[in-house]
Amino acid sequence: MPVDAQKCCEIDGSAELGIVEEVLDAFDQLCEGSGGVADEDQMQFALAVSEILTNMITHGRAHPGAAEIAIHAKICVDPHQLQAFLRDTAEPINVALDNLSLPDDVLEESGRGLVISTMVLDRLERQTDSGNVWTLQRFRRP
Amino acid sequence: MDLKVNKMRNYAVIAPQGRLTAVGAPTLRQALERLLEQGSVRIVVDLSETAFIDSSGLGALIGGLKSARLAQGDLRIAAPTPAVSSVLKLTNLDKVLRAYPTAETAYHAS
Repeated sequence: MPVDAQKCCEIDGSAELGIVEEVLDAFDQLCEGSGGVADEDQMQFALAVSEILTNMITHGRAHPGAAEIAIHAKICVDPHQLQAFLRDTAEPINVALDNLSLPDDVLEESGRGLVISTMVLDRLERQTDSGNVWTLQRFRRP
Repeated sequence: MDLKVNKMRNYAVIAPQGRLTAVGAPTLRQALERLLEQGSVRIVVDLSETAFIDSSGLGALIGGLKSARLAQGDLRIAAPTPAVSSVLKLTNLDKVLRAYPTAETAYHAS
């Protein structure tokens, strides 16, 4: 891949869990077409994408009067980094991203998604406008 | 995600194939509960064909482990793929879900 090359994929759909699989399939194909994305980079970034998208879908609430929540996912690969921009049309929500930790009880069945994401990413940001926009970034390991 | 279930003489093997995410996790939970209801309390989850797992999939495994132990049984995992192993290690769950090399050795080893 040339140094300045960037390849992206984009998926649009409604906020149902099936779109997680669609996005992960598209990311797999993007990596195959981008040549040489290390397995660890690909797997850990896919993990964060899956966690954040699932979180958006399961916790998102539609604006009053809106029939459904829409999701737009864009993932880009370049020689230096993997980036994802995940946008929904849900009501803006507040999510604390500081001081996250794994559950004290190792047998807790939930509460790991955001923690895992921060562990495998170099940057995780959430912004709100009329919806929620998550930015995920992982620098490719040498 | 597809799921294969095999009942052996002393244990049952359940094998998720593909990605184990929020899409497939409820199916795994239901299959585990069904096995326990049928009296199969010694369960092996064969992860040799599980290409990917996230926290929803982990939650299903932990739920199954707790239910199996409540039923005086156990849930053990076998042959996790490198992708699954790395998530178990990342979350420290490799300590409570120790991996056996194969489904056949999960109960015969002890």
